[in-house]
Amino acid sequence: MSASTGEGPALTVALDIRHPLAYLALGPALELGRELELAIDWLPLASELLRRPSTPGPDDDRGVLHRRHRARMIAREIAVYADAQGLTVKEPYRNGPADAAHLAWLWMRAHARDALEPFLVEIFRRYWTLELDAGDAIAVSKVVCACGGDAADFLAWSASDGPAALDRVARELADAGIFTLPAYLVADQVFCGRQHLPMIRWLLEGRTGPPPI
Amino acid sequence: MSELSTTFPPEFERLRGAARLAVYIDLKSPYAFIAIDPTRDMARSVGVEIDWRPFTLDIPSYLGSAKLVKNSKKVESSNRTQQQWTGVRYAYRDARRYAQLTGRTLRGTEKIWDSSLAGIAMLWAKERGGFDRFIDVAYPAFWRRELDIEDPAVLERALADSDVATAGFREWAQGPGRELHDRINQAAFDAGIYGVPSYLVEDEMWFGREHLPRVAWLLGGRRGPAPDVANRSFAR
Repeated sequence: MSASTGEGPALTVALDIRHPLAYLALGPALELGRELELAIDWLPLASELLRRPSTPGPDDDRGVLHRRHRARMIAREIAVYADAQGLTVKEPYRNGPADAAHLAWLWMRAHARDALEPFLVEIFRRYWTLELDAGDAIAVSKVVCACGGDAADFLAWSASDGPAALDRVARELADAGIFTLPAYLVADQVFCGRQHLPMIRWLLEGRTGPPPI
Repeated sequence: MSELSTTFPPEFERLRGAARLAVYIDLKSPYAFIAIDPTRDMARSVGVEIDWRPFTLDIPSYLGSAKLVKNSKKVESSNRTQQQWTGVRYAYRDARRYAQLTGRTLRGTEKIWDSSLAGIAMLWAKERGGFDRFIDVAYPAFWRRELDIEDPAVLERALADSDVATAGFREWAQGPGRELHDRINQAAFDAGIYGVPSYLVEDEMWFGREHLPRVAWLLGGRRGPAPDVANRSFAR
């Protein structure tokens, strides 16, 4: 993470492979990176996952109803915008482990950086079409291999130094103020949600022209 | 796409009624404050009138309660979790950075206000053709901490400053105005509205100004590809 140091990537994007809103954020961020010829620092972070709307009950109070309305709205939002992006999102309320996928993400970031973005596209797609168990290191290593990485080296690292590296990234992102995903770090500011991409673009382009408000 | 549906329940279209675009706001919401101008610009860009409606948020029911020591950032009392505090603090920072870019002051509130009287004043102003003028007076003043929205006399002055007749306001606010406000709120909540700004358009309901591109796309006849969410300008 070096969004504010003037060295390295000017934009950090944190995602969790298991959150549909992170999947919806991937494509637009990739597009921004391409358009601005920007090397984005992509980081994995295990976050709170999508909550299924609760079942109505006789004792539901206003808070319960509020959370149900909200969960239903988020589900519709994901459905409508995934449709608009042409993405398939199956079983959105899955909540299994993602350690293997996130470790592979970090390994690719360190050892095969040029292939990281194609890897992210592939691993997200496979996860959301139910072709990948994100907690299965062997299954994930096949995606690493398909994207040009060394599967054996990844598996060795994921069983040794990898977990500590993943924890370190999580701590750094929390220290930076990230609490929900997708999150963006740019110019010393944290933005949560892909709706901020116009503002992020404006900041990255040196605040030229009117702000997007 | 399993488990997720792009279909909206019919309650939203019924709630919208004859209006092409209905927008729910609450004076005590910083996100509603910074959504006012982009919403107006969007509606202007597609030539649609906005049916503004008050929706008084019941914040403690879903976000815990809290009160700050007056003129301080110190918390006097709270039953919020750490996660709720983090989310609330981010929301204010987020709204403030957008507000500052338009030269607006957005100070954090000292308590969770009961903004129902402000919602009633909105309805009073709306019936007299002064809704826009009233929110243009009340919103900035409230977010500068210059408007006690629980004080009927203060709201009466804000109505007068908006060139809205005030004779009878206080009595109306205690009777028919309160009943109308409560009816509008209950109908909205029962239909599934839970936050502000919320937008009713066609059979869809959207929460948050980031959906204005979709709202504009729907109002404009769905021309071109469906847009993604974005906080962006619609000013010409």
